[in-house]
Amino acid sequence: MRNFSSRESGGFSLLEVLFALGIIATVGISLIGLIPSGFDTVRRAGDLSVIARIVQTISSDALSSDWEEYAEQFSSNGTMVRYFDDQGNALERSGLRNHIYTASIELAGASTSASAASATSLPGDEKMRIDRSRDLRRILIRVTNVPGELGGEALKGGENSGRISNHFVIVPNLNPIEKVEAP
Amino acid sequence: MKRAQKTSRKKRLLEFPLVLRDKGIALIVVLFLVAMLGLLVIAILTISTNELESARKYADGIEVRQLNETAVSLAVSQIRLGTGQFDSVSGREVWASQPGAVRVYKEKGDFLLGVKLYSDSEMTVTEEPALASDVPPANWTSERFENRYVDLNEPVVRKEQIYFPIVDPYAFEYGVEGFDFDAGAVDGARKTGDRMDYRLPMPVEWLYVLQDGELGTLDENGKFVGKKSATEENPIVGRVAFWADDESSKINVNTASEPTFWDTPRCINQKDMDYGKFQPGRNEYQRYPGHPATTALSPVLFPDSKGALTAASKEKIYDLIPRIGSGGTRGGTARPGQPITTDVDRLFATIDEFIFQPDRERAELISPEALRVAGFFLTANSRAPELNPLGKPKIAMWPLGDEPYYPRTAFDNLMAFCSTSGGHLYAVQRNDAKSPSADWENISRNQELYRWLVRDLNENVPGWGGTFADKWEEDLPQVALGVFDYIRSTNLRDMAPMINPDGSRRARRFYASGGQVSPIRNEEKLMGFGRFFTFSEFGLHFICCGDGTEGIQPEGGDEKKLRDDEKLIEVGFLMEPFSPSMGWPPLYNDFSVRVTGLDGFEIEQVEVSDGGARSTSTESMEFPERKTFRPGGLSRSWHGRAWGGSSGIRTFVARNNYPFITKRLRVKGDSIKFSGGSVTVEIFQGTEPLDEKKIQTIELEIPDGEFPMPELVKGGTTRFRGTGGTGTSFWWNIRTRYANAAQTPHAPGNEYSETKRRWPKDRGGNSPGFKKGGVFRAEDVVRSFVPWHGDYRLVAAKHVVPDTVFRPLPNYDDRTTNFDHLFADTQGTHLLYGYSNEPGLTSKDEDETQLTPAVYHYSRLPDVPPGTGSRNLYGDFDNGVAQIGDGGYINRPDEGNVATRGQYAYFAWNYRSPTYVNFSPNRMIPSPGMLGSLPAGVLRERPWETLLFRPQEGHPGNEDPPDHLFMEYFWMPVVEPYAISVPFATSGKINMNYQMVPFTYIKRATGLHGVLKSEEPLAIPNDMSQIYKLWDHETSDHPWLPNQSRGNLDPETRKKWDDAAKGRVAMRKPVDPEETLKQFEEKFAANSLFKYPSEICELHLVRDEESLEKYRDGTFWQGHVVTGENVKERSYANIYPRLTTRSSVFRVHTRVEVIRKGRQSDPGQFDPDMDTIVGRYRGSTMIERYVNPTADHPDFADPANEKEDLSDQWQFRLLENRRFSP
Repeated sequence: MRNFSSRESGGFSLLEVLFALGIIATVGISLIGLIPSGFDTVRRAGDLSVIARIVQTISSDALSSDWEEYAEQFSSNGTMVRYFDDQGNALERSGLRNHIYTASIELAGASTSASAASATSLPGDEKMRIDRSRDLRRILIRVTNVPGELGGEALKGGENSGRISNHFVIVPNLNPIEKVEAP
Repeated sequence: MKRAQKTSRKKRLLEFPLVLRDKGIALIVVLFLVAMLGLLVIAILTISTNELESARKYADGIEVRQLNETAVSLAVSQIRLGTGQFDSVSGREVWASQPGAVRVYKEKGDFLLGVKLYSDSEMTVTEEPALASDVPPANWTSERFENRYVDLNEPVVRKEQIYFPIVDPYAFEYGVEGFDFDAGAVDGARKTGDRMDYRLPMPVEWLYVLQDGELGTLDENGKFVGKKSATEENPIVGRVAFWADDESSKINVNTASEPTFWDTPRCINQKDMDYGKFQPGRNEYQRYPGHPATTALSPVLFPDSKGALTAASKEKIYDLIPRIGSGGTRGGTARPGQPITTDVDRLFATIDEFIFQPDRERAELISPEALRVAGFFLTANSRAPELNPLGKPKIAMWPLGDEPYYPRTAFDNLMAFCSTSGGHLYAVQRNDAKSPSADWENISRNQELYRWLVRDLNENVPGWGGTFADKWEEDLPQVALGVFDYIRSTNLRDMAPMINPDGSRRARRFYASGGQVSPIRNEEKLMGFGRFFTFSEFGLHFICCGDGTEGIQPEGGDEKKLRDDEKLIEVGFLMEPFSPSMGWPPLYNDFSVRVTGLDGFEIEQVEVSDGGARSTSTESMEFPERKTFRPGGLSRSWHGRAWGGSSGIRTFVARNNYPFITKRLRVKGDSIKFSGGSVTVEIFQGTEPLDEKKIQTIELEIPDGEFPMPELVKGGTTRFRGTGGTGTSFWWNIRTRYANAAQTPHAPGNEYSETKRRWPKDRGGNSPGFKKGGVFRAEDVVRSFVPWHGDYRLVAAKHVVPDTVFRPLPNYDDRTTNFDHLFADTQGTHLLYGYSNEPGLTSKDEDETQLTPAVYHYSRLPDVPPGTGSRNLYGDFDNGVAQIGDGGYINRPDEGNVATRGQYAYFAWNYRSPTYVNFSPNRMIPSPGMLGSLPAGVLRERPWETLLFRPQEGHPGNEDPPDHLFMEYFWMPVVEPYAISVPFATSGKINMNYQMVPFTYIKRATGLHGVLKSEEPLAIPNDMSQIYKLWDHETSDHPWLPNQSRGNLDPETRKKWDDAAKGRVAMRKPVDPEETLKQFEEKFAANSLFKYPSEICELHLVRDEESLEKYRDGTFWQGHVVTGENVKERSYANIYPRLTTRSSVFRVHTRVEVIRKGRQSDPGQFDPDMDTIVGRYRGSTMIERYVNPTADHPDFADPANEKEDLSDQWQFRLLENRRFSP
């Protein structure tokens, strides 16, 4: 009686277990497999928002800065790197614990020779030989979410270079400027 | 046992279900878990997807805004391009703006560049016609232009309401003045039918943007064309379209209101009489000539309201407009009792504030329709630069006290603020009105400004070419000094409270309480006009004191008694003072005159020896060799007036000690054989002939001549109008005559055979005719010498007048003509007998003898020599104030006269100083247009040729650079009711270049309608030439007006006068904007723009019911020849300061879209089926171009900074960003 009852109430049949394992192996794992992609989407969403915010910060910085002083922040090849935390707040330097995003800011045309046409040109400018380099500035912004110092590497075209978001802003010179070039 | 039972029951309870469920339970559990997991995963995925989506939206939102900023940046860059100086182009460029474009012209005026302020595949053009012809294709909606053009004015329809981002086409039906559009020009345009169907597309090209910010447009095949090609790595990511409107094409609600025209009264007509009666009070800006508040809002708020806006409804408008008050003259219908109290409402920051202001009264006043369309026609932020053509500060037209030596008023301080940059003042300063040199020598800044102006005028005028130096030659510094002195002599009796530099009040000090200002003289011996007297005429007055039968006899008994052929005569040397600064306040003379050389005059005289033997010889007339004379108050006589102009001789000689009289001379025969000589007349300020106070030297070379012999007066005069009669002997003594000359003058009586020229008897029944104060009797002989050209301005501005200027009148040597003189009286040319330039009567060549060919009334003949008409080729004479006759005046600013005797101030004889109730700088000086009566040829002796600030064919002022450009070097800051002007800029100006590119099918001339509405130009018809200056002194006397005269005034004259005074003859009429603006349309049609606002002076202001053609062919002005240049130019002086050709504020209307390319779509094309527009933005951003007034600008008047200008000082700011989201 005890045996019977113990046999009646104890354990799962092998078949049952196999079946369950099968379901878990097929459906459960594939479902679990979707979770990272969901998280990835969330992260991408986060990246999008934060990068948008970073671009906005950089562009409003460029818009509100003094034209000359802003250019002085750039290195000789016309680039500048800035660092941001996970919320898109600017950091003073790279390598801090909360350094998540790295942005490379490039003055378009700055690395080319002085005689090159302006970095930003409107339709017809080339024909008229109009140079807008003193009153219109195109800033190329590349932001990566490769955290920490690797971010800088990524922007230089390292391993993670695929995770780069490209943007641009065109900023007018609101300051007095001496003279504009003639056509 | 119990325990065992209990345990087994528990077990059963536990086991029983398991027993029931143990089959497949694992599966169920697993499935349950999997389901839960699935839900979790779905939840995570859903949330993450949503998160991603919203992040994208957020990012797209930011991106679209950045794209919008890109569009604005492009517009800023374009404005910068068009408004800067090009260092690779020689000379200085000038630019002009219009809605949608800026045009740049080279120094010589050739077109350099057209800069489009809208998105286009060619953002600049080098051919001017290419701008206006760049109209969007009519079939812009067709497949060919798909994705290439976008309508910036596409409406949003919501719940039976339609909202347009730029312009509501309903404005056409509503009737906004000056607005129209050609509905056939582009597809989709519509202005008839159902209001919801009205459309006014404003298509411009899309500029496509690549990921790296490179810009381009789509070609006919829809392919991206730019500096770079689009690639998969660098695809199209967005597109932008923009069009920048010119805010100065709109009417500014912070400066404009509704005008009630006012002008200084100029002649007899109802309006001018009312101008004298109801003068604008203080703070009544809407009546100050040339003030921005005289620009009308009614073309938008009350279109086609011509005449329908009552004084009461205007008052309501004033309540709505900030800083404009109601009251005052109540639309020109009352005398202002108190200054208007202006409200302290803050200014409208945006036009939306005006449209949505929660004011009930306004709701009654302004229709919702008006507000619906207002945005395209009104603005709260229009501003225009105030720099001279060389990009340097303008010189202010307002004189300032030389602080701390001379105090300033609050107005002065504001003027100084507006005229200061980098700590350097660009305004004339003054301290001493009496000295001809102190304000020059002691105020070095005045010299610096003068020299700077002369240097600048030696430069080419950008956009025109040519220099004023080449044109005016040696007269250039003379003109410049003339302007300096004109400004210095403005506002002589400032009624505003004066303030010390520390802010404390101080006692008022008038710069020249007597109205006299010594002309400034510089080291080059050039002289301005100041406000002073010169002499316009010298003369010899011969009277007979006795003859062989009667009169005074020589002493010495019978031997010496006059024989029948002998006469005893006396001769007076007469001088007629004249001031070209005619007008109010009174000019009370404070000068003395020294005459040297009269002793050289000789006549043939009879010498009687003690034995009675007669011998004849030419002997000295024994005038004093050198004598200084200080005349009494020139206005202190019967009919004396202190308004300058011709001041007559009566009050000049009316002294007991008039020194320029000969002794009694014994002569014989029928004629006087006169031998002249050289005479020097020196004029000094004050009582003493001190060299440092010498104003002027006039050299005279009086020729010999033979004149008729004067006859002895054989009768006295009766009393008349308050003056007693005279006995016969009164007239035998020249000294007695002169001493009494301040009495009632000659009143034309029987000696004039023409009945119309006789005065009526006075109340006592006394007849007119020669009277005690009349100086001349018909028996006298008078000869005079006048400037040969008749333009006394040329005399007044010379420190030394050479002896070639004054010449005898034509009948000098005619022994049959007793009178050959032009001595007049302040009150007319009929009060001294024998005035000798009356066409058809006393002078020949009827058409050319007087100033104009008009038939003047004999009492209001211009005081000019015969033949002046042949020299006055261009009509460059001034109309006097109110009833004062015409002549060569310099259009001095009217400082007001509030005398009310006889009701009509200005017309009545008396003067009362305006009080603070009427005082305002902007009432006095509207603009540099006031300078138009300054002669351009003082040194070159070119008479009747003044600065030309009006259209006049054949005038030398038209030669390049045209005179009107001279105005561009000066400005009158508008400091009331608030600082409408700031350094280098003034708000509320209207752009003359209203042509809208590329939408040339839209016409918006509304702003100009607003400007022109303020003006009522005066044109005096030829058939009014006999009465336009007639007042009570013609045939009657105060207080009767000519139409009420009891005298024998010619009925026809009386009727004409009555018609004019009652308004039955419209001498002033509003400007007809449509007819006037035809000239603007012609300019635009010729593919050109106005480069300078002064170009308004080249256009006719056609009045209501008149045609442009008649102005052009000259027939209009031929029918109005007595209209003076100051009157013709007054409207230009009033309009000019409210116009511009360069805007500082632009509203950039944008439309941008962020594009996400489909995976399969061509990166260089936009495919609406495959690509997605993920962000859209429509709106507008206001951009202002300005110069920081507080920056450390150099002193432009310093020769070391000759090459400096402000063209590299312009910066930009973004004023307002508005999203179109109705």
